[in-house]
Amino acid sequence: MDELLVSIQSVSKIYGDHKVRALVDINLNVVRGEFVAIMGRSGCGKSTLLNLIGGIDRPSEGSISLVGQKISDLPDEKLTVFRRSKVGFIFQFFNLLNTLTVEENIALPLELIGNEAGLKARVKEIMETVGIDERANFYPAQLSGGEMQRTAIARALVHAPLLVIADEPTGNLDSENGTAILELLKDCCTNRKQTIIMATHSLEAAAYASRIIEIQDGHIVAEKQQCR
Amino acid sequence: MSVTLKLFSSFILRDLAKNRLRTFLTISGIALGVAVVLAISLANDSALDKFKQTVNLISGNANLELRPTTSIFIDERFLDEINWLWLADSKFTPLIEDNIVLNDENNTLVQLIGINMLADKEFKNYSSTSGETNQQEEPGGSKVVKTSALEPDTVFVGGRLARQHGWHIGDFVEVLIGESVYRLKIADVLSEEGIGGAFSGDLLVTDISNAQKLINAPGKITAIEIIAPESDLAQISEKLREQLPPDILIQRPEQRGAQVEKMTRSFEYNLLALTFIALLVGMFLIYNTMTISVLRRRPEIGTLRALGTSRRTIFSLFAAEAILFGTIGSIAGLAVGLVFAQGALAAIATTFQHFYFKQPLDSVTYNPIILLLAFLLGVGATVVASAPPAFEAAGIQPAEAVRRAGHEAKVKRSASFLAGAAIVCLALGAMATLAPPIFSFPVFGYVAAVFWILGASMLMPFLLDRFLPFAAFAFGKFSNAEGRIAARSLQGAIGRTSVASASLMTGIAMMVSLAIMIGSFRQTVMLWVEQSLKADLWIQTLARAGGSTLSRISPETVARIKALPDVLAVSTFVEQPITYHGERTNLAGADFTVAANYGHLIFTSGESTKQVCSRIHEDDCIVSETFAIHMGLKRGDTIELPTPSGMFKAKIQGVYYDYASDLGYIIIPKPQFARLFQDEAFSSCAVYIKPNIDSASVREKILLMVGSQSHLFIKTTRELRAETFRIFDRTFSITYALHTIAIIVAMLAVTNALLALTLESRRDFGILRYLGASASQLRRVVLIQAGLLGVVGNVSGIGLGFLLSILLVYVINRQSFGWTVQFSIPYVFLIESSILVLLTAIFAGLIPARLAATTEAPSVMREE
Repeated sequence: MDELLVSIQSVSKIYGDHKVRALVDINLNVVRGEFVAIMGRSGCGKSTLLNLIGGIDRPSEGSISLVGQKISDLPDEKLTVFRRSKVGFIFQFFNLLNTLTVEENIALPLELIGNEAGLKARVKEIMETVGIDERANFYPAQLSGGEMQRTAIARALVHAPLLVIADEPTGNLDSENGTAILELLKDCCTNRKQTIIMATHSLEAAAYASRIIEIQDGHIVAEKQQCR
Repeated sequence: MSVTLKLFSSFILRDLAKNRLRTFLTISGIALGVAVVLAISLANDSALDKFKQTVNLISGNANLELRPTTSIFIDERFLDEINWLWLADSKFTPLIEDNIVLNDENNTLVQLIGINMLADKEFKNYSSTSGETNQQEEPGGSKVVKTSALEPDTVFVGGRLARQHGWHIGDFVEVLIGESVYRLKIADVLSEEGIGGAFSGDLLVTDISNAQKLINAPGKITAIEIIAPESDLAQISEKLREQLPPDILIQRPEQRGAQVEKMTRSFEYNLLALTFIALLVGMFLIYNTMTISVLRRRPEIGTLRALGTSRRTIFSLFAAEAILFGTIGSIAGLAVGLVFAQGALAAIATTFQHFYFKQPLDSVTYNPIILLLAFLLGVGATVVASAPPAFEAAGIQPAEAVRRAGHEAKVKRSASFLAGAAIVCLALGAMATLAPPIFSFPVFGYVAAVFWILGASMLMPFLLDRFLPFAAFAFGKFSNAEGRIAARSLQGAIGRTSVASASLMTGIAMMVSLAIMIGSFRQTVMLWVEQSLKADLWIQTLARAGGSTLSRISPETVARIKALPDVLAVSTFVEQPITYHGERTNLAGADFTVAANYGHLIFTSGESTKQVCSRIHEDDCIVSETFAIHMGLKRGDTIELPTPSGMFKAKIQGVYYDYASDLGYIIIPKPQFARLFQDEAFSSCAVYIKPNIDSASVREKILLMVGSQSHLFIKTTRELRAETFRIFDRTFSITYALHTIAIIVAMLAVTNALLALTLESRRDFGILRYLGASASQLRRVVLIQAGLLGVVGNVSGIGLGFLLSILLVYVINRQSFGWTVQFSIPYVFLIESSILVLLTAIFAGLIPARLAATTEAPSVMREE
C-alpha cells in the first residue's frame, strides 16, 4: 500500500480585510512518489494551495499533515526546521539569491540543515544531474532563464526532500528548456521516490504528472488519474 | 564556518560591496554623527581637565584649602589664628592667585601666583629650565630656585609665556595693574614640571609679598593651603569651620573642579545635546538604509525563510550588518572627531574664558574613556536605529518569496494608524514640556523634542499619501510626463519615501529651530542692548578689558571724570564673583541715585528704572532674571549673603532682564558694597554726556586728563554694542557648525534614499527606455523625485522646526539659563536656507539621476 505523504482536510484560506476566499474546503491526499499537477486559471488558488502544502503559509481553516506531522499547527520555529528538511521549492521566478553563486545557492539547504559531510560532492553531483556544473561560479544575473531554473531545481533537490513543490517551473522557459526541466522532475518521482506537486497552466507540462487536479475559484472541480 | 557566518558573508557583505556608494554614504553619516559628539565631548572634557590639572599643580600636596566665598581675599591675620595646626601635625601656607594682563600688543591674560618661596617646598615643586629645583636637597637645608625671586618686582615666568615672547633671564615683563603699568624683572624661566605647568605655562610666579604689592593688596591672600594627616582631616575641617567666619570655604582642592563642573554644566550639557542632533539624523540615515535594504531584499528573505532559514538567523544577519556599520562608522567617526576636537575647543574656549574661568585652552586632552564612550554610542545608536528593520526582516513570511509589493501596500494601509500614533506622540511631547527641570537641566524638554520628532516622522506616510497624488495630478495638468512618473513612483514606494523625507525633515527642523532660537536670542539681546545701554561712554581699566576681572578704577579717577564740564553724570559699577548657596554668581555695587535718573534697566514687573531705583535703600538689592529663576526668588524675598563683614540681609526690590552672564547678578547699593567689602574702587563706569557734545571728543579729553600713567579702556556705546554682538556670534559659532553638519547628514540620507529608489526603479526605467524615453527624460524623473523629497522635507521640516523652536525658546533655554527670550522669526534666513536645501536635495539626486540615465533596457529586462 502506498504511503500517505500529504493529507489536506477541509482547508480554506481567506485573505485580507475584504475576506477574499482563495481556497474553499479543500480535501486532498497525495502519496509518496506521486507527481501531481494542479491546474487552473490565474488567481484560482493554485499557488495558495502550494504555499499551504509547503508550509510557507497557514490555512485559515482545516488542517494539513505532511508525513503524518500536522504542520498547520506547528509553531514557526518547528515548522521552519520541518520545511528545511522535508520540502524543496521551485518558484516560477526562480528566487535565487543574487549575491550567491550557483554553487552557493545550491549548497544553501544542506548548510541550513547543518549537513556539511559530503556537501561538496553532493552539490557537484546535483549540478551535473541538472547540467549546470559548468556555471558553478556564476552569479544568477549571469545566467539564462533555463540555467536559473536548473539551479533552482538543483537547490530544491540537493537535500533529497520527500516533497518538491514547483510553482509554474516552466512558466518562464522556452519549450526546449521546459521539457528538460519536466524530465528532471519526472525522474525525481520515478527514480528517487520523491513526491512532486506542481502548479501549471500548461497541458504539456501536466502531461508529465500521474494525477491532475483542477481548481476553479478556490474549489477542486476535477481530478484525473494518468498513466505513469 | 557556521551557516549564519556563511550567509553573512554571501548575503550581507556581498550586497554591501555591490552597493558601495550607499554603504559609503551610510558609514559617512554614522561617522559624522559620532565625530561631532566626540569633538564636543573632548572639547568640554579638555576644558575641565585643564582646569583640574591647574588646580592640582597649584595646590600640589595640599589636601585642604581655605577660600573666601563672598570676597576675593582673606585677611593674612587668619594665618596666625590657625597656628594650632602645627600642633595637629599639619602644615599650612598662604597663596595668591589673580588674573593680570600683560602690557603687550594683545593685552595677554596671564595668571599671577604668589607663594611662600622659602617654605613651599613641601607643598609644591617647581624647577627652572636651567635645571634648578626647589626639591633639591643641600647640606644644611633645602635649596630654593634663585632667591633673587624674593627681590622686589622680580618674577619667574612660565615656559610657554617666555617662549612666546622671546623672554630670557634678566629681561623685563610689563604688566597692567589697575590703571597702571609695572615692570617686573625675570629671575628665571619655569619648566613645565610642577607649578610651571599650571595654566599651560601662561603664568608669573613670585613670592607672596611681591604679589601682594603688585596687586595692591597688602596683608591679603586669596587662599590658605593645608597639608593635614588624612586620618584627622574631618576633625581639622570641623575645628576650622567653628573657628573661621562663615564666608570662608573649607574644602579639598579637587572640590573646586566639581564646583566648576556645576557652573559650566548648563552650557556643556546643552552643547552636548545639540551634538546629538547630528547623531539622531545619522540614526535616521541608518534606519533608512536598513529599511530600504530589507524592503529591497524582501523576496530574497522570503526565499531564505522558505528554504528553512529561521527568524533568529535572519535577525542575526541584519543585526550583524548594523553592528558592522556601527563599528566601521564609529571608528571613522573617532578619527574625524579627533580632528574636529581641536576646532571645537577653539570655538568653546572663548565662551569658557569669557564666562567661567580664565584658563588657556589650546590643546585637546584625548581621554580614552570618552573615545570608548563615543565608539559605544555610535555602535549603540546604529543598533537601536537598525532594530526595527531587523525585526521587520525577521518577521517576513516565507510566502513573501512569491508576493511582490506587499510591504508598500501595508505601509499605505497603516498610514492612518501611524497618523493616530503620531498624534499620541505629539500630545505626550506637549505634556513633557510642562515638567520642571532636573538639576537645572531641561531633561523633559529634550524628551518632548524626541516625542515631537517621532510624531512628525510617523505622520509622514499620511502626509505623503495625500501630497503625492496631488503632485502627480498637478504634473499631469501641465502635461509633464516625467513629473507624473516621478510622483507616482514615489507614491508606489511610500515606505521608502517616508523614511527619506523624515530624515530630511528632522535635519531641516533642527536647522530651523536653532536658527529661530539663535535669531530670537540675538534680537532680544539687541533690544536689551538698545534699551539698556544708553550712556555715551563706557570706561574700564585696560587690564579689565583684557580679562583681569578684579582690576579697578580708582575713586580719584572717577571723581576727575565727574568733574569734567562736558559730563552730565557718571554711573559707577563694581562687581566680584561670589558663591551663593553653593552656586557661583556675581555680587555688584551700583549707584542707584544715578541709575534712577539715567539708567534704563528693564524690569520683569514692567516698572521703570526710576520707580525701582528710587525705592532702594541700603539693605535692598535688585537681582537679574537668571539669578532669580535659578534660585527660585522673586521681588519681596530676602536673601542672606555672607560677607567679610558678617551676614548681610538684602530685600529684593526688583528683578531685571540681563543677558551678560548666565551666572546672574545681585546688585546692592555701592556704599553698602564698599562698607561690606572694604572696596571703594570701581570695576567700570558709564558716562552720560551733556546734549550736543560729541562722545569721541569727550573720550579724548578723558584720556588726556588721566594721562599716560592711567591705562583706561573707553568705548562708545556703538563700539560696546558691536563688541557685545561679536561675543554673541562667537559663542554661537559652534552651534551654527553643528546644525550645518546635521544638514549634511540629512543630505546623505536623501542621496541614499534616491539611490535606492533609482535602483528599485531600474525595471521601470528599462520599460520607459523601450517605450522611447530619452536618457535626459529619465534623469529628469529622478531629479524631480529629489525635488519633491526636498519640498516635502522642507515644508514639514519648517513646520516641525517652528514647534521645536518654541520648545527651545520657552522651555529648554529658560530652564537651562533662566533667560526670557522674545520669539522672533529670521524670515530671510529661512527663505535662503529653504532654497539652499531644495537645491542641495536636487544636487543629491545627481548621482542617482546619472544612474537612471545610463539604464540599459535589455540588460535590466534580462536580469528581471
